[in-house]
Amino acid sequence: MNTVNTLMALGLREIWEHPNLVWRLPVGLLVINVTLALLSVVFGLNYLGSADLNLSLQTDVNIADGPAEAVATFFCLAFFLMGQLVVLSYLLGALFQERKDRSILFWKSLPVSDLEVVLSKLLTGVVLIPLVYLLIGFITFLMVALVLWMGLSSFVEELVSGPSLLSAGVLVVGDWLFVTLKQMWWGLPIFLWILLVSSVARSQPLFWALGLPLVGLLIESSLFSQTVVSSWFWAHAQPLPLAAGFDHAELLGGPMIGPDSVLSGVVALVLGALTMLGRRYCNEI
Amino acid sequence: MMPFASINKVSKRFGQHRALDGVSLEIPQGGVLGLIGPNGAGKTTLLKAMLGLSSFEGEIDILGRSPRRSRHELMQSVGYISDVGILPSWMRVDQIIQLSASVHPNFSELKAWEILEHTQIQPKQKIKTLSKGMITQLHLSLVLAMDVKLLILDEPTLGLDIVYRSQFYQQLLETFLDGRRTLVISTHQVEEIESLLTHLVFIEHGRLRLSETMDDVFERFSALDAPSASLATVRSLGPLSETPTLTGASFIFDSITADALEGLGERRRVGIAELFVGMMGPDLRSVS
Repeated sequence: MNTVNTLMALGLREIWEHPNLVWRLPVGLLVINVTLALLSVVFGLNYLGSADLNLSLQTDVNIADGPAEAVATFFCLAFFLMGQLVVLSYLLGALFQERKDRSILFWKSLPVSDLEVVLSKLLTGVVLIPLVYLLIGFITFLMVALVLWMGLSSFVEELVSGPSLLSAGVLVVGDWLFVTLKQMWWGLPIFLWILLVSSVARSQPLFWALGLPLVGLLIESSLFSQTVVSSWFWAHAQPLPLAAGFDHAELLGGPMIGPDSVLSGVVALVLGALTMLGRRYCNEI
Repeated sequence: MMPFASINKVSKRFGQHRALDGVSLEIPQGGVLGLIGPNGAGKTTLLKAMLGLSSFEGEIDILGRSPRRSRHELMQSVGYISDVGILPSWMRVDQIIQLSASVHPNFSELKAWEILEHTQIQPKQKIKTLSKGMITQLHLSLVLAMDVKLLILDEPTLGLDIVYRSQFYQQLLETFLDGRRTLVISTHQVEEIESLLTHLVFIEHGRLRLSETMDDVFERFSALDAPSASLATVRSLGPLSETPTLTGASFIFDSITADALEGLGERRRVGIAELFVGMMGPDLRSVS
């Protein structure tokens, strides 16, 4: 069968198997946030009661630039970070669970290569889940902003227009899409490390995924004055915004491909090859 | 003529324990090979080696491919059902059929649904809600819909009631066994498959004790039901085994002429189960 078709079928399998992680959780968060926004507007308006409030917003500050951007950034960042946590959880079980419940014997009875399986899980975790979370984060911003705007419009004159609000959000999500794409490459060594552990661990994959690097850190710090390898590993274990100290310029600037990116790529290739070997030789637990 | 599958000096160790010890075997196309052995004999290990699910020493060639190097390509022509439910419990019936169709070049969704029409299985049911028998029915429908050339069954009816077992073999007979497709089946329920077999293999402690066609087995081995009066005479002929009965004893002989048994009792065709017990001797733990 065509590899692309196989990857798409396997990707669909991942969505069927993990609906909570892939879309139910972020949609649930969307619903909660919009509901809270709606309640705050309803109760707020109710509290203000029949007072004839007719405020005029006299300010030089364009509400679309400041507060709208801040709200958009809040939701994009929150959903981005939530998405990264979900990616770690997903990858930890991706190749472990099928060995634990023995379904790997069924999956291996299909004409699907280990490369295709590992690739499908990697693409689901590293690409699909973060993009889904970012998209739903953006939709959450739009809906919350719309609710708040409708609520405020009832007693504040000359509030920002809808298109201005939308454009502020689009600009922010555009930035965060760029950050998400950078994060895919930045986090690749860690994602593949976790997938490798998932493919070979006989139990407690989280313990091995964290424990071995910690032991590595202890050994390196006791043998050398500098922990070059461990520092590099733990730096890449942080989401890019944290590693960059939430510095906007650093997050959005800098070359896409630099020495660190090349090293990340090499490490990812090695870990990817080991993961395939793990999937090939480590069967049911 | 090249055999359909050949297994050449295959060995497998788990630590100090030799699960397989120099096993060599040839499987012809269209054959139905029964792999019989006590628990821990190496049946599952051998089948997994054939499927590329386990490392091993030696060589295995199936349809011109090595399961070690070309597993996923080999799986286009090989189907497998394990002794325990290995279908993903979280999937729905329609999902597993859709996925199989998406990744298997020979899979026929129509055929799968046609087979399932005769069962109680509903499309939207989750596999975890199915009984063991229904899971086996579903798995069988999947492999039959894949139109494979070789089907490997590792104790597929373990734990199933007699109705499901009967339906299982009936489905195999009607849909799969056409003289061109090959079946390798490992089972404890020897009596159920005896009529299907063309080849018989006994395995014990990782080694083959017997590997013959059924015709050769029936030609080589004989069974005799002897009355009490002739027991001493019969024993002097060196039988393979003796099993007491109400009226005397049943004996199994290896390579004995009909004339030698003339007048000593009722000669009959040997049963596979009793042959197995007879050959394995007192160390046998279980075969049903």
